[in-house]
Amino acid sequence: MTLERLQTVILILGMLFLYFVIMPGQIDHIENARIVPATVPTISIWIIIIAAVFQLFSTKVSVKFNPTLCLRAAIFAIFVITSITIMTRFGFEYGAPILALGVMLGIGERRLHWLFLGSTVIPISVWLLVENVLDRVLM
Amino acid sequence: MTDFSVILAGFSDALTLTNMLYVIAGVIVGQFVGAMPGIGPVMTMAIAVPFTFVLNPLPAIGLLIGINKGGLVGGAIPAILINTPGTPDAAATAIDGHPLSKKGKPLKALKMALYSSVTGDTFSDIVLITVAAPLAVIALKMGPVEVFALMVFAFSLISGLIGASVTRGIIATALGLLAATVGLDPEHSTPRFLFGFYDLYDGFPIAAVAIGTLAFAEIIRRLISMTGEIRPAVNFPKDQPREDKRISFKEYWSCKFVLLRGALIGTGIGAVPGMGSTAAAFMSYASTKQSSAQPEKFGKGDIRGIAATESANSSVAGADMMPLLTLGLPGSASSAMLIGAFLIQGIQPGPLLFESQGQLVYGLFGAMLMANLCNFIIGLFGLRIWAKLITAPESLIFSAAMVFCVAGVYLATGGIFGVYIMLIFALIGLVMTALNYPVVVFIIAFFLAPRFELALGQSAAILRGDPLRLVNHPVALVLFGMSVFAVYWLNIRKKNNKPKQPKESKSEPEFNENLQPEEA
Repeated sequence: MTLERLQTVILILGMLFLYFVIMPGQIDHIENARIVPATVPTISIWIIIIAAVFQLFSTKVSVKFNPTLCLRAAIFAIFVITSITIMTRFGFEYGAPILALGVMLGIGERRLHWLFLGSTVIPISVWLLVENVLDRVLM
Repeated sequence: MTDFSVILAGFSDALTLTNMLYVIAGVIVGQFVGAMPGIGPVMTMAIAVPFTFVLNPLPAIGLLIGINKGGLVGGAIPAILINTPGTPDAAATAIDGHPLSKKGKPLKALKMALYSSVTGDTFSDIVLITVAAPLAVIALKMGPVEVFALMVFAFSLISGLIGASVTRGIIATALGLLAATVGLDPEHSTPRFLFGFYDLYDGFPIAAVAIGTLAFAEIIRRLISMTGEIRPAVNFPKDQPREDKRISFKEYWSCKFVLLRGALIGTGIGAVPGMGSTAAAFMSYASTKQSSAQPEKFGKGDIRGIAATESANSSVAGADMMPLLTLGLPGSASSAMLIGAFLIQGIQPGPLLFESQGQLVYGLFGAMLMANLCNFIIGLFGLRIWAKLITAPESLIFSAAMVFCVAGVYLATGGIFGVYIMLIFALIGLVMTALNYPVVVFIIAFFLAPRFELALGQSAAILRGDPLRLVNHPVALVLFGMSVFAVYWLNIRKKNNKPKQPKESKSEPEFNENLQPEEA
């Protein structure tokens, strides 16, 4: 089975799971109405299932899996979530420079002046602008 | 029809100092980000949307329009100078722009691109201003059944035109509709898909969804595929003869029919949701080359090639606003951003806008015309500066963009919950892009879903649940028929076109803001 077919099968199974398992517990059942809360979700889910089944048998689009890119994406995602957690715990002014510095170092930036500008001047300027000029609280 | 005094009041609103400053700021930012390959106006608009929250509607929308229009001019700069389009729609500009630059005439190429872009853009804005109000009057005569049918037709067109295949477009549309059902049901006010998170009562925040899918996902996608290579520095040759640095009026005027053809193609294509400016640029280039007496000159630095592409891709910007303002249907990523900004301001775009917010609409038109003038003036003086800035490190640009995304979403949604929603939608955007599902279609469907559900409910009530009663609504019936035909025809067309697809359009460049250099 190609990756293209595999992702389509996962999509179909996901939608069936959503329809039969999740939806009944997450949407109130209402009778005697033409349009009920479940109408649009039901229509959407069935459109996805029908289109996905059609896609399963007809599509010529190929999807490639790149493990290196997936790993890098996962590392970036973990780093971003960690930085945002630091922001919520200690404040934007501490978390944002870490986020910016990590991103810059992660993609190979080593020039000190750019690192200083990107990881200190810009995040602190945003923080000063929002907290002092716009008078809004930033985390 | 709108009262003349309202039109005058709207235009004078656009000329207030505050609005002018926001439009100018938007154009400067737009030209800068357009000139930076990898950023692009749509991502910048997405990041800017939450910051417009504190502004009045006109300066807020004026700023976004300035960014969009500035980006159209800016996108041509790296296409001409380093053969790497700053925006996908500038890809066709590189065909003649870069050879002309290599001949030692980069400023001539840049100026032709600027003049053509402003000409095309102004043309389509004038068409928009003249046509929008009468179209809105016609649109107002449509009832809920016709509106519902029109939305189905728009969805089928967008699904078919954007993306790798029609089925993928349809799936992306349905996913957008599904994501928008989270929150309170508009008909019965009962909660749906809350999973115990009471912050979701109002649904997913628009700013978090837009920034997550269009900006944050794109930044991560760029970051993970980055090679760390530094772009070459761009230097303009010194001691050039004057004629190699400028476009004379004679040269400009010699392209009048090329410019007009480009503007007409761009305006026509822009008015159809989902077609996109890249298609307009390539179509205009092809037709200009075909109708030329010396087609062999094209691709070797002919200014007519630049005029054809730039007038066409820029004229899409104004025409793109036609379905948005008259029907409330966004047809592209940039107009999806604008509809997001309208909704954040509490304004529902559509035919009623001309009646309820006539002054704002004409203020917007004034801002658009002003943005064209600013584009011209700032472009003329800023070309050399932008050419230098395209060598700024991407690491700085993307890290700053990430910080802006987090701060912007936090401010717009009023808490960290919105930031986490943004991360979830960034993941969704990344997965969709990786699997070739068009994210723009998803976001357009998400924005239109509340209206879609409302129109469905009203239509069901009018038809009393009996589809056979549609015979009393011939317009709706025709639109439903056209929807089915559009899906069928576009599916066949996509299948037939696949092997012949040109290299430039392989990865749906119309809506993928960040062309890789090798795709240029």
